[in-house]
Amino acid sequence: MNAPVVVTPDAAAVHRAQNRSRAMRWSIGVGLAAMTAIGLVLLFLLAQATNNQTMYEQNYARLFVLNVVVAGLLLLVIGWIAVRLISRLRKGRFGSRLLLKLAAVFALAGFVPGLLIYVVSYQFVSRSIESWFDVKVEGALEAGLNLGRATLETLASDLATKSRASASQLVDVPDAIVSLPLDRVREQLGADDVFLWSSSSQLIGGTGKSRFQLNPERPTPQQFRNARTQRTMSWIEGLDEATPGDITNARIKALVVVPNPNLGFAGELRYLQVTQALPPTLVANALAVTEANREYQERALARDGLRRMYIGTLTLSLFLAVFGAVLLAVVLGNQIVRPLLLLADGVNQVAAGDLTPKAALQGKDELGGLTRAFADMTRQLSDAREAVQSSMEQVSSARANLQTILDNLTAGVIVLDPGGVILSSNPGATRILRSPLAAFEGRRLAEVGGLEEFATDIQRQFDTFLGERAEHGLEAWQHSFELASSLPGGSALNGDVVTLVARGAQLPDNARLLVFDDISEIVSAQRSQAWGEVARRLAHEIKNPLTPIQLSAERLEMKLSGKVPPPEQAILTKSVKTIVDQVDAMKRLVNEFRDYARLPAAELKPVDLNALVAEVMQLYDDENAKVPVHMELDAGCPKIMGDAHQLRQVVHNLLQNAQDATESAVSAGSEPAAVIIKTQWVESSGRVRLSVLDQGCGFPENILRRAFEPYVTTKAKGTGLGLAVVKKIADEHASRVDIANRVVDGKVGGAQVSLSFAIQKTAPI
Amino acid sequence: MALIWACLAAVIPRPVQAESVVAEITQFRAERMVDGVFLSAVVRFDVPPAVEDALLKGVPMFFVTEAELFRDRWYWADKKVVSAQRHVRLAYLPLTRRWRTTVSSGALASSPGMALSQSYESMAEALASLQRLSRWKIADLSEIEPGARHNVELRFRLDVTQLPRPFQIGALGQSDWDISATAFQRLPVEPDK
Repeated sequence: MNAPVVVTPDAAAVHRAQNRSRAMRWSIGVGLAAMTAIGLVLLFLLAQATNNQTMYEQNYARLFVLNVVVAGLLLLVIGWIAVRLISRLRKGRFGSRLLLKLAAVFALAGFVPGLLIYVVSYQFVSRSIESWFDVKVEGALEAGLNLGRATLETLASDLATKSRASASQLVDVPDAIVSLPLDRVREQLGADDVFLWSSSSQLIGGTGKSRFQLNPERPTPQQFRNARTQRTMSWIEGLDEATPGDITNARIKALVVVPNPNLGFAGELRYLQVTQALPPTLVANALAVTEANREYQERALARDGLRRMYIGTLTLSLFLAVFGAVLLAVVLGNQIVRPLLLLADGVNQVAAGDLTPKAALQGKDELGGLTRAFADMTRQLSDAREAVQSSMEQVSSARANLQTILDNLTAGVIVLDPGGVILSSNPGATRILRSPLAAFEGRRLAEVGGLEEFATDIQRQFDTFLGERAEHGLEAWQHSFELASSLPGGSALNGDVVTLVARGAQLPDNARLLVFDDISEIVSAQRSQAWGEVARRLAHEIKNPLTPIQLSAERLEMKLSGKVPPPEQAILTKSVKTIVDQVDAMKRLVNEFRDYARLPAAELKPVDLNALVAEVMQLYDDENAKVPVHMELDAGCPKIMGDAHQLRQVVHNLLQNAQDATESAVSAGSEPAAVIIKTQWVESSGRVRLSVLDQGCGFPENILRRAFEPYVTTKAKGTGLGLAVVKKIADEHASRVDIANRVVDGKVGGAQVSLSFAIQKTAPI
Repeated sequence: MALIWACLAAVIPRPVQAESVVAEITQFRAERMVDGVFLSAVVRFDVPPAVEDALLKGVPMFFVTEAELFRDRWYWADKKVVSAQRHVRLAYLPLTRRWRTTVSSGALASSPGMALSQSYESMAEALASLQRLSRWKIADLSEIEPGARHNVELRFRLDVTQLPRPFQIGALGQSDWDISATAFQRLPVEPDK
């Protein structure tokens, strides 16, 4: 099992991805927390700032901008998240729809209450600010102010009137003695200071608290002018600088012209200035009213700004709250959706057939447990599938083994169904039956050309077997068949009959197994062995009487020669000659039979075939030969494995046959032609080929097929053993013998016999 | 959502400056005297109704005059040599129906002691004194280089930042409250005798 090896990198990758995403989540969370904290602090400060306290007032604008910036940042973040979400949705990324839905739900949950509170607060703020400003309050303040003003004016005019009255006392008082009357005036009026000024603003005399001042405060020329034209004037001083805590300086000043008795006299005018302190309580109250009025007016004027400020604060808080809610919604939604996505993704993968290990969450909640259970399930599934796969592999390899064995069996195997339809077959069957059985799979055996009878026989055998099986308890039937020569491509060597031994059995699923083997060669071998035995015995039995027959005949001729009349003498001579000739022929025949039968087993040794042929050819030189023989030897022939003695026999027999054939052709009127013997190194097959070619009459068709069987001959005096011996020797050498007619211009122009020999094996490696 | 945007739009100051009240500086004169550099000028502007209304209700207004003296530098931006400020507080006292100006060289809240106050019977008088600058000494002669060429920049504006805060928020970005004028003058090289 190599599963763990596959798992490790995957698991590592999953782990890394988890780590990365965890880190990212952390950073996002921390950032969000920081941002929220900043927002909260800012919000708090902003809320404080609207409290009208100086410090916050100073920083209000700054805070406001800061808040707007934070809100903008949050908006940006939300926008970024939204864009990401939408792009994921566009791409059809798995789970984005769910995430969007969750985020929307959470955002709505945050947004709606916020909006509600905002609307209520908005109404509340705008109404309550309006309610601060009341016409009645304004009127009361105005009235208080007017009251204060009127009181002050009354006091001033009163002082002015009194001063005028007092001034009349000074009309005739010369400048030099003015001090005493001034004192009197001061006492009458209850004033603080009384001064008498000349028209050129020179101090004539004074009395009161400030008389010892080196340079008493002098009225402005404007005031002098006004006093001259209006005879009297009064004003209030010190109220401008006065604060509720410091009101000592507030006083009324009256400046009146002292009447000049010498009207028309060019005397200069004198002015009386009276200063009287204002009652402190009055001043304090008046100032308080003024201050209150001022503040009220300020706020009334600024209420738009105030409302804007409050509403701005509210709006900003709403924004911060909503943005925070949306952000939290997305993050929390992600948190919740993640295991679901993981799970669903895993399910998709499994559905698609991917059983690689799935990531599991470590959370303690049910979703985490679900992902773990799912990962376990996937692993088990994958294990089970792997087990199935390995057993399947075993089965298929066993099958392949079996198939290989079947394919390489020399025996033919056919599986038939009860109706005789071929279910499967092996190459051996095709070879033996010489029919493309693979092409006939699914069709009946009887439909194969030439096998109708065979099929019928087999069917019968199976029927019999199945009928009798119950009785005899047989496992299989066995029978031998002979297939007729109608088989296509029948070999010349095997005659026209193929002998088969077939064995049938029933397979578990009611199919029928037919196993058969070609035993034609075994049969043929048995036949030739039996024949050899017969020949050997027959030869022995026949040969024994031949010598006495010959001797007797010769003795008859020797004794009777010259003792009988010539006509009888002629008959005698002729008869004896006939007997002797026939006995010779018989002897030779018998010897050949004996040789054939006695042929010893070949002793295979390295032999130079060319040398051997050349040696034999000495016997066929021009002097001895009836028909000339040409050699065409391939010098590149390696040594072959063979028995030199037997090979010599082969060459002799073949040359003899060739010469005989040529002679008979010559006697039939053909042109005499040379016999050719040649050797050839065939590199492609790794064998050496020995061929003998003649231009005789060739083989008739019926002889050609059985040429190698004993006692088959075309020659008048032949025993029919020459080629049989050649065949036997060739078999001993495990060499192939081919015999064919040489066809020239569509006419038989002689025969050709070829043998191919295995070469000497090089040193074993 | 539209409501929120509307609110936001109302709250956030509009960046586009509305047309401001026309104010101009005339008779601007910079003089180099023996005892210093003096400026004289008249600022002309009409008090906008909103400002006048606020004044009559007792809200003081602050006017700031800033003068900056730059020395020419051919190789770099001009160097600021001297900068002087003159703050004027204009207030109406409803109790006595008088107008009052307080002049100081710094922000009035910070240095009340240095202030110089004067009362007027009417707003016109008070404004006239406010609008007239005569022989305002912005620098000693020792503070400027004798031979160098100098420029004087004079700026006059209504200082909204010294108003009460809610007022500012209301006034921010409103053209009624924007009174400002700027003028440049080259300082004569030789002191006038």
